[in-house]
Amino acid sequence: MKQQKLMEKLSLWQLAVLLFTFEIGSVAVVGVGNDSRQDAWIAVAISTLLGAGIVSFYIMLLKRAPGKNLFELMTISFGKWLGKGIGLLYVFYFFYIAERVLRDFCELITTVIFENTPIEIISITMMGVIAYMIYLGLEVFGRTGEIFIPYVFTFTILIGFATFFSGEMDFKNLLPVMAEGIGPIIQHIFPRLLTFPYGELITFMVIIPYVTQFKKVGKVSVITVLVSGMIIIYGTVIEIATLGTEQLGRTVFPLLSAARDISLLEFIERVDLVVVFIVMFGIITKVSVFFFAGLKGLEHITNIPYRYMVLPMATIISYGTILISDNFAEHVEEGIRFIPQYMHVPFQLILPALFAPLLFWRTKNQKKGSGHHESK
Amino acid sequence: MKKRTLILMCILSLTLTGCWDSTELNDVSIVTGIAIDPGKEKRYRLTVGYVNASMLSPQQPTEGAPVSIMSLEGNSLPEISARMNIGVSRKLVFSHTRALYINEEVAINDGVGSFLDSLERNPQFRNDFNILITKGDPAEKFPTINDPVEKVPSLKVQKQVKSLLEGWGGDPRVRLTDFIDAIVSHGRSPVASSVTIKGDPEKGKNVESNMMTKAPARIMLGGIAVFKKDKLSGYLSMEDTRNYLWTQKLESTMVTIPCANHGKEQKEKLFFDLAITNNKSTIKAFYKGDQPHLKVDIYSEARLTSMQCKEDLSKKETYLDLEKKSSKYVKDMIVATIKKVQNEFGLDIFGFGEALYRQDYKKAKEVEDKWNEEFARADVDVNVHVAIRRSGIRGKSFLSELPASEEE
Amino acid sequence: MVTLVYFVMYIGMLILISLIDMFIWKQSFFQVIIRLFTLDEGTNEWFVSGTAFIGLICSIVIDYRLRKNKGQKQL
Repeated sequence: MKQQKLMEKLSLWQLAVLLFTFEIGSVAVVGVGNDSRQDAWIAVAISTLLGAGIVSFYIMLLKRAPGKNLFELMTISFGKWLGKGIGLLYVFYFFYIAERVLRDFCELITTVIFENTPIEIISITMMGVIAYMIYLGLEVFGRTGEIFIPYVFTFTILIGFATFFSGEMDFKNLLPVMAEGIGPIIQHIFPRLLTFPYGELITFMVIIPYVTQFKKVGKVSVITVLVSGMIIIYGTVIEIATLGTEQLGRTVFPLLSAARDISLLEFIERVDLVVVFIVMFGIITKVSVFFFAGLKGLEHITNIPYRYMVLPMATIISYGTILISDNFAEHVEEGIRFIPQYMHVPFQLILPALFAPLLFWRTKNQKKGSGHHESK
Repeated sequence: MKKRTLILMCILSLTLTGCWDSTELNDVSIVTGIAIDPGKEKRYRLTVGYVNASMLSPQQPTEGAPVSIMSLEGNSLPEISARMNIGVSRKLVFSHTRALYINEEVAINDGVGSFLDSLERNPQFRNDFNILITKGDPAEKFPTINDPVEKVPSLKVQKQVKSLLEGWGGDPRVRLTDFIDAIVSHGRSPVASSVTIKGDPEKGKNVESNMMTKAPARIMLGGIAVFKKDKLSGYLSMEDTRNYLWTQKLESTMVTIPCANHGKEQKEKLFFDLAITNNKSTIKAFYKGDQPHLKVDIYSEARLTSMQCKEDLSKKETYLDLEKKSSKYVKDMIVATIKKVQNEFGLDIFGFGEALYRQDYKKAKEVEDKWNEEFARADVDVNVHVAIRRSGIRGKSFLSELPASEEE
Repeated sequence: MVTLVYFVMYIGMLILISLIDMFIWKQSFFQVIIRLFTLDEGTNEWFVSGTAFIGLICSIVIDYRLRKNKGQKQL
């Protein structure tokens, strides 16, 4: 029972680390897509700016009621019952995306490394690790991130340099710039790129209230989003320059395929496991964040401390990971045709936009009071 | 509490017994060479050459053949390689494959596309093996030809190709993904190296052949094989291969250029040699009205390595003169190669179409489907500038000091 | 209560997955549900089903302990 009384606190640096790995995790597995061909990096650049805008919008909402997370905000703006109902929808959404992200990773592992190991085992073991980490609390999660971030960051940077010095990069592949005009880029950005790495940051609306220095959160998260956007651009340029647009369209795991070409001095070769490491940590972070956000939602709805629900919910997620799709093609098709339009856009953009005015109206008086309080 | 942890640990340890993907090193054989021939009854005949690892140990090499081969027929590569254990004791591992030999009959009749897909799809295959088209002998002979220096035949071929590329430029530097990209691309036709066996392959099979100073059989590199989509359409000579590479990415090469036409016969001519050490080439394609133009700009740095002519190399005018001569000579050579490709094959192996795609996207989209015809009728314009920088550790040639009696 | 949450989440996720499958495969709801529920022999699906069952048992145990603790506190 003592564990309940542990304060859940994150430092600013830990928040930045989590945001960063969250952003680059999934992108490192499945890439940003090939919709805008050689201009993908431009699309990423634009959507990074838009993503920074989205994040500041989320943080603006959080600032209206400091210390309250997404679910509590919804209860404030929609009232107790409607707020909890929409909160439950969000819980489903978070858990579902957690399952999808975990599935991405499991597919990578079963395709590339463990060909004979059943995918179910990988999903169960990964979920076991994540459940344990979440059970120990947000602090442990943050510190895990702190430990791993130097490796993740340097490895990501080094992969680019190594492919470059292996002579595998051909920057001509980036030409012609915007051959078919801005049209394909915009189609790529909305809804896919905007929602996939950036809009998903709505989960951080559950985590950010636990950051100690709440005032600086806005600045830190925007900067982190821009930095991670830079890394994603970097990765995209590596992928396009190394593989070329044709091959990029055919490959399933682009960064991995690019890293397979590395051959430095006939000595540093076969480093694609490094990519798997980056991916593994990115995925653990991402699934954990979604999982934690969903659990917090359940905690808010049922008033039971979330730690009691970690294990049962983890088993549901590992179950759903397998169930969501029969094969890889279905998984990818869902990711392109269904998830962005019918799940990401409503939950990341429409619902927040809906409750924002309500929230402003409800907190109008409180804000004055709290502002007064702060000035003391 | 402690008891419970203990029980939990006991239960968990049960799960450690089965590891699906564990393979011991002495349960696998490493494949270095793969050869594909047309099958008699089924579609392909696959031959793998795998290493006898204990033979290669530097401490105590055992007697015996360094590689062993096994052939089977089947309809697809994964099927055949999975069935290889009919005759092979260990599990085959393909991640260290060094050479893929493709019989030219397969490449002409069947096309290579149908099995390249399985290679690209399989995560075991890396992007670092050479694709070689075998001329003359069936491909299955190639992984067997022994060589005294490199014990493993396929490693020998790979090293040979690499050294040739660095020294003279006879290999198109094509790997699996480049090859597939070129098949898919509208603006480039694929090429691959070709190999032949010189000598008697039956004798070359024996390990005893390693005892001989003059090997009874040798794998020789030929010029490049030109493909139309995934079907073989013909070969270029070694010279043409070098010229082809000159327009792409040449590391270094050697050209012999006649000083002047002293006699009519080849034998009577006098030559000077240039070692090209640095090279930069840009490819352009554009339309003037309706007529496609191909343009290659080449800038090469060279070092003079031999001089049979009389000119005085201590004067800078001589350098200028030689530069002019060699630029013209190289230009004619490259133009001839491009013309030859245009007339004989009508296939754009140089990537002019891709250049057009980058420079004039709209026009490229227009002519995308008939680019090879457009390429065949295009005007060729090659600009070469050879800069001779230095001439070894001698200035003037001693030949220029000889009395000029022969000329009379 | 945890058991209730477990069932709500389980059924909710199942409905969500089957809705998406309905959209993707253009099948009726029952077809999809049947397909999701059948444990195909020869696959290793029973691993995850088993794990989910363990989760269910866990949630019952947690519920039991929670109630016991509550009772103790009230006493």
